[in-house]
Amino acid sequence: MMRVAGGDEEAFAELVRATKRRVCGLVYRFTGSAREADDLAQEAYLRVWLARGRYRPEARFSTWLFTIVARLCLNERDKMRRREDAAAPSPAAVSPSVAPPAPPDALEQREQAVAVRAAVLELAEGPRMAITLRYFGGLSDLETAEAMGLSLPAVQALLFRGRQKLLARLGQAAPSGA
Amino acid sequence: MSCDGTRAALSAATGAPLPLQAEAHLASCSECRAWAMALDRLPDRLSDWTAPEPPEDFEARVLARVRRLRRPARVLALAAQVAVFILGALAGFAGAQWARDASWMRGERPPETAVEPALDVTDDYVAAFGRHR
Repeated sequence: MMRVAGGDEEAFAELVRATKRRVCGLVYRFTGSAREADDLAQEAYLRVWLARGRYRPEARFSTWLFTIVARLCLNERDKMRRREDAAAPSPAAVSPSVAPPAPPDALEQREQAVAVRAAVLELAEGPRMAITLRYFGGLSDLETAEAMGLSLPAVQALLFRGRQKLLARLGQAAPSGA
Repeated sequence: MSCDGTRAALSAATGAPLPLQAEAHLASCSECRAWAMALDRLPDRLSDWTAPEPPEDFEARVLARVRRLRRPARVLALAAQVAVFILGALAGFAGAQWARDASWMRGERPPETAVEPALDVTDDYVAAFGRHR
């Protein structure tokens, strides 16, 4: 990352190669759409490039990277919600329970994957981002709090809400295949 | 402690020891014990949902956008160099002009080339009006 901070494009290419799977995966789990994940992940890397001079080596790189990714995702969702509100002010139009889910990819046809996907995407944005960073991004509670710009207790409350809803939706029993 | 409080404590614990009250509640509440076990299994459940691989050209597209970002910066740098050159040339010209004006003010005779008459005067003109020098 220090080479990237110095403007080394080759080092930046290496960084993208090394992290793109995790970043795209995280955005995909937050948005539920592969196309949106691709767009937002591209935008996130551009912001990483533009902010490279502000990176401080004392911060863990993945936390710094996911801070950019998380804020971008949340901001984009805000903008999208405002656009949707302006276009169709009906609350039903933005309700996650009635919004049509994005078409599942071929890899997600298995019953468990579809159930998990639906359960995650039904979460409100705050708990969903916390759950996504924590489980799919592999961050600790504290790192999740840093990435979301929240206090640790606030993030733990979001995680609790998210876990409660996920367990209620997915059921507490072990999956049939396990 | 209530079921809700115990579950919140379980959620926040992540490997750390539970508060004693939560431990006591767990010992007596089978539903919360089931919830705790489900919470432990949650990472496995979530891993059922795999993400698609990023597109093959993902990296190339990111780098192309970065290069497009850099292009205006290069143009600006070039424009700045040209501006510095022009300012330098203007400053040099103004300096030379100032030095010449200063030499005139000190009463030094300007070089001959500087006071060439604009028009050729004819001999008749000189005879009629004299030479204005």
